[in-house]
Amino acid sequence: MFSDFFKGLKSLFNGHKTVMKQAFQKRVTLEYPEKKRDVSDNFRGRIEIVKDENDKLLCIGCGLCKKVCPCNGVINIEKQTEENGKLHIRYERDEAQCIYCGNCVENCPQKALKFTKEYEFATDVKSELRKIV
Amino acid sequence: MLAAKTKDWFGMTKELLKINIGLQHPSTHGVLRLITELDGETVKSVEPVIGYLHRGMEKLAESRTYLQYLPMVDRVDYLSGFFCQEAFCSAVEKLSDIEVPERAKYIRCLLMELNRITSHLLWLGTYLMDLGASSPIFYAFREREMILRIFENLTGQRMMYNFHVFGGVKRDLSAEILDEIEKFLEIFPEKIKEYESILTDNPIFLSRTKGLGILTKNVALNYSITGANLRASGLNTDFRKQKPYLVYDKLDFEVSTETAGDCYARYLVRIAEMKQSQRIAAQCVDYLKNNSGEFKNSSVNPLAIKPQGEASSFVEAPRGLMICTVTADGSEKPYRVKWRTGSFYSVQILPELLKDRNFADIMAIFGSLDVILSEVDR
Ligand code: SF4
Ligand code: SF4
Repeated sequence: MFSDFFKGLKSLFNGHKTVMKQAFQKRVTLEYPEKKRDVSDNFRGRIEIVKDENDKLLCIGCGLCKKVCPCNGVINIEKQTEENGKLHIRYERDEAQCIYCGNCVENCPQKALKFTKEYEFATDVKSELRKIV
Repeated sequence: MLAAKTKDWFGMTKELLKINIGLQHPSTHGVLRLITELDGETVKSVEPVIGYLHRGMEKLAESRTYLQYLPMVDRVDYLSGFFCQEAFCSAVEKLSDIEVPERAKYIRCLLMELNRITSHLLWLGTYLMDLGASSPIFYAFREREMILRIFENLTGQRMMYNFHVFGGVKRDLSAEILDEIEKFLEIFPEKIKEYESILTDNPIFLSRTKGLGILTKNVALNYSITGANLRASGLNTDFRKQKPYLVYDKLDFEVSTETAGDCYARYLVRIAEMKQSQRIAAQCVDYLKNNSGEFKNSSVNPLAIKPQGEASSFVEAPRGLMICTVTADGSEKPYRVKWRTGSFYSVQILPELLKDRNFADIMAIFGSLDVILSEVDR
């Protein structure tokens, strides 16, 4: 019975020791909305449809990204010819359906899609998540 | 709800009380429903009801190409994505005779062992939470977070990695990431000691786990239990040793077993496994630092994979044996994909283990089996 008592005392002591050790260390958590953590360059955040310096899409409308997408993240890629004969591409993405797997970004032959570090895009308007360029 | 009437000693009618635990119960690790029949405090019968997290992982494969299905595979078991990826990738590699370079194999091994540590740490934290101790979860998450940061730096996401490709991995491990992993592996044994110092001899923890939920070797085998739960019942089975995949035959590690088969033994096995994982990971880091090579087979075009035949791959996942069987008919989509996961079998054993136990022990026993419902329902 006494041995039980001492065992209990010992584990109580051990527990407090562990807690106190942590109490004097640097805290590991961040106060989130005020302070934000840096994410790495590889981070798979919101997908940007890249434009060149003339504000023209890099995309050539090959449709590979749509083919490798597992879940309708890429809704539609339409090639339209304008009156002056220029090719215009209408690219439609749905960020609500995308699972940010990266298949489209990695398989695009033109590097026309890019991951950004943005991860806070919760919204209550669903149409904001549908991106048409 | 009142049910099934029985008579007690004096001929008085007694009624069993039917209680529903779940669907959304903090200790069920997902959405499991347990229909229990109680006689006072004693559990008379338990019936697990599964299927609430069914996402049709197997059916989804049939309407997607191999490359399209690959990102979804992580979700079979979201706590150990690398294992699911390995299971599916190696099955497809077997089918289409794709060589995996040596370096890629070591990278996969390293990531899987780190993943095993995160998975066991999460189990440790939540199990202790189930038992009523709220501080271990903070310690476990502290270390888990370190690994998840490494994974995030490497793959881009914390849990849904999508890092495997057919014939290797997506990216090579840079020197900085290897340093980060090494730094973690150096401090980790110290941290395991810390967990053990507060748990292994703790009288409250011992009285809640020792001798509870004893799973004998025969019962475990009859129910096809695998993984740490089986090893805690005294059977030395580990697919990393028995049927070495990747480079496990070149790595030096031990299989940890216990004979008691109770909740405490399962705890001991998992703690020992974390130590072994640390050992394996250290060897992999050592190899990767001193050797260079290809990290993927660049001759493979993932868009043009059209295998034929049937192949299975065996992976020793944290929750037991994981088998992925892929049947292919030569088209660009799999004909059928079948997953066998450890948790599904661990849930089936519940009626056996919980019978005639105390009501308060339900979660203590259930938690010790390390069940995750995404793996049960798939
Ligand atoms: S793969 Fe690239 S170039 Fe082709 S349609 Fe998609 S974004 Fe455009
Ligand atoms: S990241 Fe994945 S899910 Fe999202 S659009 Fe690209 S391929 Fe589709």
